[in-house]
Amino acid sequence: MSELTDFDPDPLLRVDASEMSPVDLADEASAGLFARPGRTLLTVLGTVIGLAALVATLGLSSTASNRIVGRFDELAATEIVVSSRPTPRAGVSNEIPWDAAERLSRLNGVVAAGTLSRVDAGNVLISTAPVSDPTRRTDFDLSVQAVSPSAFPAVRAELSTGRFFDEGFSNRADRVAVLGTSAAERLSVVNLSTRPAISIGDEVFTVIGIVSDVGRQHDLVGSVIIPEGTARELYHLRAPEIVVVETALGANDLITAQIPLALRPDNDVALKVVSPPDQQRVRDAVESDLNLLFVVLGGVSLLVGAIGIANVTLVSVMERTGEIGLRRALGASRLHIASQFLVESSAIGFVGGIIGASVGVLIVVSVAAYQSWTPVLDLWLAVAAPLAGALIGLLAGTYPASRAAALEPVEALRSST
Amino acid sequence: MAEVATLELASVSRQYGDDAPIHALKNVDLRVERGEWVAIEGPSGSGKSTLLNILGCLDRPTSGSYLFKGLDVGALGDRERGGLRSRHIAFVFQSFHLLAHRSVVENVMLAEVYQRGSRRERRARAEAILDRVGLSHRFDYLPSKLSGGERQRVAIARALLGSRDVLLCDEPTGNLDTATGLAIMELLAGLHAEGLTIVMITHSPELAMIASRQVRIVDGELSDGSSAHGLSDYAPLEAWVPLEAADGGADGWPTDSLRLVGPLIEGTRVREGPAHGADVESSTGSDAGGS
Ligand SMILES: Nc1ncnc2c1ncn2[C@@H]1O[C@H](COP(=O)(O)OP(=O)(O)O)[C@@H](O)[C@H]1O
Ligand SMILES: [Mg+2]
Repeated sequence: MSELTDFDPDPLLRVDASEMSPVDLADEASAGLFARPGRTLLTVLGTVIGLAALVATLGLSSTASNRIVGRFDELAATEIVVSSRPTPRAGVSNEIPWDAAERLSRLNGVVAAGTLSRVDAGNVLISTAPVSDPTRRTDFDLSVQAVSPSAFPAVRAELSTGRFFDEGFSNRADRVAVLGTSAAERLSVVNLSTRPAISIGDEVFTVIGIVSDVGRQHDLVGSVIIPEGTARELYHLRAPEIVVVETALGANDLITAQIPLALRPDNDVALKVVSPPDQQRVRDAVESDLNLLFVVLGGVSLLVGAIGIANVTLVSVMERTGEIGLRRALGASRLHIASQFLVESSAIGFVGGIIGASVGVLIVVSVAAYQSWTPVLDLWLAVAAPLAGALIGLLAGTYPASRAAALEPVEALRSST
Repeated sequence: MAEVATLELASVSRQYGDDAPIHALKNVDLRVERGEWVAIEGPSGSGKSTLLNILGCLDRPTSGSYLFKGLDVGALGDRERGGLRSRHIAFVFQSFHLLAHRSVVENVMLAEVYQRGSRRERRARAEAILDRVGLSHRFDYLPSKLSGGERQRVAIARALLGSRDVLLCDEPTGNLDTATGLAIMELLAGLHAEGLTIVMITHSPELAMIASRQVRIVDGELSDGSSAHGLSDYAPLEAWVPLEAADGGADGWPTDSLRLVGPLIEGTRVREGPAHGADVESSTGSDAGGS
């Protein structure tokens, strides 16, 4: 056996440190993990649960808030409401001009603008006329709103039947009314083909349309809506109460700044212009509270996962004391021993991160599909979760690895492999 | 003999604990020349393992100096001592210390994990050495499927893979039955014949006699050249064959096995073991290893 006879005869002048290639390190660590596959799998589970919870909660909250942005935010982000300041300076009127809607609709970026006013019709009740069913209660205390025809698109009113009134009705001060759907219900107005009429006090109005829903100014649904011109003539309306403006998306800030000058160039403090950032901020705050809760929950489950890894690695170090001794005898330095256990615990965390991220994504996609929402997931989560898992594993492995490295080889060898 | 001893201890002491210290080794001087096979005998607790661990750079002496092939080992750091163990020192333990979940060939390959070297050739080398110890049919077995003797052969193969300078054995046959133990001794004898330096702890005076030199430790103090069988007038033995051990040894060794050990090196001077009055046999065994 010639290969066994080349024993080195020379004196040793120096000795190189022992070394371990990264490939060998990976090999030895994976062998360590696969030696007890069941336990390794159970240890992985902790990180899986933690990271799945984290990814799922983050994904679900972004998916849910995306849905809110889709339906609600666009409406809020394009809305401006103008009203006059309640206490006018002496001798100066704070009123909104009658042609406010017309003036604003000329601004570039305004989609629709309309004026709305609550009408004080005197202390009168509203009833269907003529009375159709004498046994039923027929008089109701409903609010009456006078609006400009352009207010219907501005509040995104939807007709269930009939029509809106236009400038002609308003200019002629016609006695016509559009009913909000719940007002129509109370007045038992269903079918417009019979040309139903209602009476506001002594005045009789023909119902020409029923509004099923509005995007803004929700009290319109329960109101009797009459033309502004009619209200001016009948009830001596002095000025519009508010202007509702719908802007193009993104034009809101610009229009908000332009409104005082467009409506009251003479008095820049006459009007109060309310645009949505306030509401948005409230919603953002609510959302980030939710996110924080989710993140805390995920963090707690991760902490539990990390403790699991630390615990199992520690048990593994104690069980493998003989192996550690053997490796030291075969040349491993303390650093080599520590590295192997760190790689093992990081690998557990890394694999846990991959599985956890996949499970989390699956949860988000399933919930979104069930709710028919569009799943929204940050792509970086897919990368960050395994990295976070590996980091957690690394941290969790620090103490066990240092224990393993601190073992005296002679002591370690005394326990059997 | 070479000018530089393979191993050289000079007044080495090892003390455990500070209050009521245990003096496991007391001023031990020991020179092991290249190609020697030294058997360390002594009662249990006398300090044999402590001595071997110091020789193997697994432990440090409390005082005294240790030169490994002329190099002062005491001055080396953890990683250099690791390098020394990895490339120059091989261990064989009583309890084999095989990794239960790794195959035979993987267990052997472990010896080169802490060296820089071609991984591609590592397996081929491991298989060649397993061939040498007679385990070519067991490459992919798990240790649990092997007999005790086979396990110790795996351990010896692992020892041989990484390191060529000295083989340190702590009671290598302690967990084996007599016949199996003897076969392991045959294997060691073959390696020794090829030039391997061996330091071996053994409880058994009969096995110690197979070595080329015997030293004895009692209470941490080392004395050269004596044995349990009264071999007080020390003279270096390259090989010694207790042919009639079957009569005298309580273990009842199979004589056939013993004959196989044989004098292994040409020009070997063979002596009688006085306790047994064994015959002297002088022949040249070219390869006593294998099974
Ligand atoms: N780590 C230790 N701590 C304290 N005492 C020890 C330690 N290791 C060995 N000893 C003691 O040192 C002496 C020599 O032990 P050892 O070298 O193992 O003996 P042997 O191998 O000859 O049986 C014994 O008395 C033993 O109890
Ligand atoms: Mg011992």
